[in-house]
Amino acid sequence: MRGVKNNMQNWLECEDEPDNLVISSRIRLARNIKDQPFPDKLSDEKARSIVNKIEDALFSSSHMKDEFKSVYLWREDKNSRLSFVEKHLVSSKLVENDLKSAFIVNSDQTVSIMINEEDHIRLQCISGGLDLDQILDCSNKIDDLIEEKIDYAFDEKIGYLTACPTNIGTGLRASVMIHLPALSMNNQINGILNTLTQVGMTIRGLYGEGSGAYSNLYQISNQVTLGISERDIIANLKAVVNQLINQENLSREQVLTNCRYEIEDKIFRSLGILKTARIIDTAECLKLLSNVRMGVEMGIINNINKKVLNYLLVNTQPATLGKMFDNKLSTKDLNIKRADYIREKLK
Amino acid sequence: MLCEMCKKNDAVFYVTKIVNGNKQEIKLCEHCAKKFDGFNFVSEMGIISPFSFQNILSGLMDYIGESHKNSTDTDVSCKKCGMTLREFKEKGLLGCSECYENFSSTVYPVINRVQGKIEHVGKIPKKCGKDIIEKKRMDTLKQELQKSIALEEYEKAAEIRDKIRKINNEGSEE
Repeated sequence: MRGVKNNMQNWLECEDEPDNLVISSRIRLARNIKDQPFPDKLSDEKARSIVNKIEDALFSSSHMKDEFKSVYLWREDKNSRLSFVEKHLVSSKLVENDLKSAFIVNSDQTVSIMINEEDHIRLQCISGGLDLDQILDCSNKIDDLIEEKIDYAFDEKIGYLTACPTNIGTGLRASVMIHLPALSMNNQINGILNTLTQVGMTIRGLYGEGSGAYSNLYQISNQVTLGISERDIIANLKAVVNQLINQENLSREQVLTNCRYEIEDKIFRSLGILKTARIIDTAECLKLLSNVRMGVEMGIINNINKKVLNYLLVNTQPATLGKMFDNKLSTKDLNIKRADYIREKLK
Repeated sequence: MLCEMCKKNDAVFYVTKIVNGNKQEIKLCEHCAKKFDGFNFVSEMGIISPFSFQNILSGLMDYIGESHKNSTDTDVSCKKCGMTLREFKEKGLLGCSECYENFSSTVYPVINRVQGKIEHVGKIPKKCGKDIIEKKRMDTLKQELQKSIALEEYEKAAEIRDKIRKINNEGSEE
């Protein structure tokens, strides 16, 4: 199955055009096995046998066996499990089901097949930049590969059957992670939410509902999954994202025209704090990283690349940071370690 | 202490959130605390939005129930997995693929309201959807045939008719 070899790029490593406001794009397909109750209705034992069944289907070719590996959540410690969420490899719902759930991930971490989340299979493909068509092609290839061995629950009228009616039909959720500091500064996010809802899409902060408030990173995704084709879903999403990019850039230009010194001051002070602080919590860290990112995107800071910022974003999250040092650190000690880590990386 | 929102006035409201042992605090002035109430406040603090699907579902089902009196008996259960309507109403999740059929009179109106449509037009699985793909192709051809006849494009209609015949013959040979 060489076809699965893809052109997707690990989003953390992505550092192409510095002015690109899109950090990553993701497509997730929800699938269930025919004649099996959905994961919530399965015993732990039965659920784990589903994990084996999907592994068998996927690993039937030796190429896949070399490229992918399984992670069983019931064998991982708490920080490791949470760290997978912080790295965007799995959803928090998968971690909630940790006695039943597993995921199969490829070597560059662009493909993650979650097993026993809300549905038996949640196939996720994630890549740097905005190339949703490429990502959909890759998702389809792996989906077809699994379907060669496994019969999916599918209905002629309402499509792929999922545990929640909000995913039925295509089972496809496409989302784009985008940096919108100027629009957030102008309190325009709620307005965007209202508009997006009208076209069957939604916006939410990264790392859960509210944290966009600190990081200014938002996920735009489709809400409607039925009655529209996969290509149309991603075409609509792309159109909306491009529109948001234009709006954000316009807001930034306005800020530059009206208060260039203030904005440059804010960006360089943020960089200064990150480079020198001795103790820093997650919220402040996200806020300052967003300011520095904006500086890089606007060409105000030239000597820092996005790759460094991407890694800082993930590795300063509590579980990932804790895992790097010591799982038992108190919040205060973690804040000290976080400051140490950032100073080291920005040296 | 300055308000963390406007950074101008003195903070008089201290809000503390503890989730899974992680403590977070936000300090606000009176003005910002007022602005910050209700929905906004909840989402800023990262608490699960009261407008999640599970939460609005039960309201939706009660509403639908008014027009389908007989289908709202919440103790009805799925023959396959034992899921009850009450459970679906609380969790927003169905138990198995057959729930869609067994609860169709409740679930279909919900789908219609959530999705706005009730006809899948996307991908069809290659293996177990083979018959469906054939059937959909045949339906499209038949529609095209009707259209060409209506438009009096008889040459095109003949072509389509031949295609349909060919598929039918292939089917009967198998």
